[in-house]
Amino acid sequence: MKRGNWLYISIIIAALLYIILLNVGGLTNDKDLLREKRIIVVLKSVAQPMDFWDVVKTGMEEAARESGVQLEFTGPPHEQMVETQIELFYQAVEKQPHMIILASSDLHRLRAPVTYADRMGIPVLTMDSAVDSEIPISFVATDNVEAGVKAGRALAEILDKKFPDGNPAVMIMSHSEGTSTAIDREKGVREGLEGYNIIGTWYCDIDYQVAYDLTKELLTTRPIDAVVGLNEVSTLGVADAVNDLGLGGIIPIVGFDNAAREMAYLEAGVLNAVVVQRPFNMGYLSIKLAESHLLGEKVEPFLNTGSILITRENMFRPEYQEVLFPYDKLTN
Amino acid sequence: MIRRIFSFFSTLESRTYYVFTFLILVTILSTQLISYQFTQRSLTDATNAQKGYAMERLVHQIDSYMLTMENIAQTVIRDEGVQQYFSSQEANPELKEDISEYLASFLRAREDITTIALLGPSAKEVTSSPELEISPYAQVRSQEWYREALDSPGRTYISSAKVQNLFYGIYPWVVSMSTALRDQSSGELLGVLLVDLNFNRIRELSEPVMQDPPEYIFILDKNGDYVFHPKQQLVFSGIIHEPTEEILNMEDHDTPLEIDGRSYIGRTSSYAGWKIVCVTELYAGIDQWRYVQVSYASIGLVAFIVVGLMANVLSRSITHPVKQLCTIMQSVDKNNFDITAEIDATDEIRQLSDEFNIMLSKIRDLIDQIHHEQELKRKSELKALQAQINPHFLYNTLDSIIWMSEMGNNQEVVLMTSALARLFRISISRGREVITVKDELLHVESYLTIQKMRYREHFSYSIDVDESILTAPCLKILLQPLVENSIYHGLKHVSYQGHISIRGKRQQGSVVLQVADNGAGMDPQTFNHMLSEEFVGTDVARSGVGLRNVHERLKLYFGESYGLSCSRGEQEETVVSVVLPEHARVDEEEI
Repeated sequence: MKRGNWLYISIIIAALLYIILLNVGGLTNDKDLLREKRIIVVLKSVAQPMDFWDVVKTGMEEAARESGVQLEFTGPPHEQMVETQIELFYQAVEKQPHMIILASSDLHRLRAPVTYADRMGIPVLTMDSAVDSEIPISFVATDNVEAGVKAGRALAEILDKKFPDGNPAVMIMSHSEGTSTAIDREKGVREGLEGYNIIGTWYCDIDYQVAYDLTKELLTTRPIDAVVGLNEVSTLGVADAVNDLGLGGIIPIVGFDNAAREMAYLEAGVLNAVVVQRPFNMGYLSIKLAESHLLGEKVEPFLNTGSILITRENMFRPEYQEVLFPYDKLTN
Repeated sequence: MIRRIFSFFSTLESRTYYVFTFLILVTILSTQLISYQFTQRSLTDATNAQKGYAMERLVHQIDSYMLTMENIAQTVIRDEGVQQYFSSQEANPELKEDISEYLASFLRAREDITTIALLGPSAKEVTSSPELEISPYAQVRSQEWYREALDSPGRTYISSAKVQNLFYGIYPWVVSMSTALRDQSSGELLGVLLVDLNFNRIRELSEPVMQDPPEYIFILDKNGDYVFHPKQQLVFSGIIHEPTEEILNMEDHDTPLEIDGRSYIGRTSSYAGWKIVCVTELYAGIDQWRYVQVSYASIGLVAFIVVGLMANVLSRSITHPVKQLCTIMQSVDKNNFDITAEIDATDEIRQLSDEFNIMLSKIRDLIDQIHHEQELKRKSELKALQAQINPHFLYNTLDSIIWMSEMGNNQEVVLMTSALARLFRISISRGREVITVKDELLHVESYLTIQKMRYREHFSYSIDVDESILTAPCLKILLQPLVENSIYHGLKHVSYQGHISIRGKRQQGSVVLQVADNGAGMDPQTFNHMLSEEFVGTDVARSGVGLRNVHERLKLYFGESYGLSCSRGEQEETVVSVVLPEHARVDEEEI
């Protein structure tokens, strides 16, 4: 054999050695792989301290801290700014991350941007609120129908006690017509209140003032015995209206989410129950799922992060405290 | 395919290369593995020790923090105003305001205190925030901190981290410390002092020291319930499991508890009774190990190339001399034995070539021996042929003797018989092959005497030899065949009386004996022809045998330059000459 051949073989074996060393030494582990990955998270809203999305972010950051994956957050200042979110989503695609996690503000209107991301070869994972597309690799969210059913059943129980023979009228204050969370929760509430007199659903468009005014108007003009608010804003609007009308504790309210004022109303008995999601888990698990996908593992198309029914009785239980009263951000 | 692979191993060079390459590969890999594990172990030990130290400091910080709070609590309890307000039957609103201001001063001094509250059994309540009402929903007197403080007076109760709902609508995270308020003089239980510590202070302290590999710190109380866990929701949702039971039984040392790929190092706070645990992912890998790996791989590459070149040189040092030796052996195939292999090589190969040389010289010896033996064989053959002449001649001579006896020629009988006797005596010569010229002449004269008596007038003879050569050595029965040849082929068929002349002289350091006859004659070509090997089976063959015999014997004994030659002499004589060395050195013993 000629000397040149030795050289080739030597180089081949050295390369082989290098590859073996990389694998044996545990260098090319998942972690190193993930450290190279960039994920852009497009939320429904940012810059609102202590709210739902802040906790989602904390969960995501915790997951990223464990794995070393690089996160970048973006989103409109308010949930109802769908156009801004679409714009931000396109901007995210331009940055060519390894993945985009989207909490969609609208079930239909984010469909085209998601399709575009897919064409650009960027996988999309949706969380909290869905997009009506087959493209997202998975959907990490509270099963909102299930959450709605919990709220509906809780109200049904209260109504059964309060109006043993009557046919109480229930109104639903929804936050949005187009968002999947609103649609699913309403569906669940209606399912949980099956057989009860639901007089209708009103939409506040994620505007507290609208919810407040609308409730006040409806309560004064119509015979309404109970109210369901489908998110934080609508629940607070409803609760404030009921409270201001002096009907706190008289008209049962079942709501969603865990704003501090909601908790106070719950403690005071204005709110009878709230169904809360697990935003920390949602954020944490959506990152974990994204990582699984980036590592080439198969992921389930839907991951339910669960919901909890909170009443005055269980709100200070150790296992729920941190869900209901998230830790402050440490300043250091 | 398999054959192609095997062909890679067919040469010494490739085998050397592959074996060494393989060895290097294995060596590098195992060295790497061992050093990786060693490095990782020592690194892990070092980090564990470091973590243990960090935990110890954390415990110390928390404990001293709590002790400070305890001191504040004791100060408040012993305060005169407080004692006075709670021991008196009536609630003095002015005093309450003073106490409230007093409590608030602690809050201003220390922002890590959220609230200080004094709660009597009934409506007597003083807090550090006089503007806030105690929540009607809180049911403070049925809360754990209140009951625990009253149940075990003298001991400070410390709660887990929790949400405080003392004031309506304000839900801070706190650690509640509560202790019973007693009357300093009577020892009567007057109420409970609550100090709420801002839990963020403890969270700050519990911030993990290291970010990479990521670790986190959680705190358990002595019942195994969580005081704090940074991923509390994941724990309560069952996504993360902590082995709380094992952790509670864990000793405070640097050997971590290793469960489910995570390592736990903990320290117990003596004051609060908390277990502070640091969790790290096990085998999180070593930072910058890539450099080590790259350098190992580079060493490998260099080593492989060096091995490649070395294999070439090494195998060359073996194969090159072997090839040389091979070439030398090939020349032996072509019957060239007179060579010696001289090769510059390693000891082993040189030994091989030396052995080859020894073998070659042995072969040479054997060949010589065979050569010699064949010569001997030839000599004895010639001897046998020489002996063959005699019976025929003896028969004729004896016949002549009988005939002469019958005729009564006693004198002639005596002459012939004595000539015959002399002939045989010299023929025998006691077995010697070499005799003196004098004896040889005597022999041929005896022969001539006998032949002369038989053929009478057919020929005459004369012997004319220098006196000086008579003592020179001579092969026996040398001249007789020549004379016989002259008689039978030269003189027998001529009508005149022939003459045979035997002459001898010294000539240029040699002894020359000649037999000349004036018979029918023989041209030198025919003569030479008769001496050659292929001259067999013809008429002249039989006497030719005698001539050839002499010729060969001369060559055998004296060398190739000696032998018979034929020439034409004066008066049409045919002269056959024998050239002998003057001092022949003949090894008699060989004959």
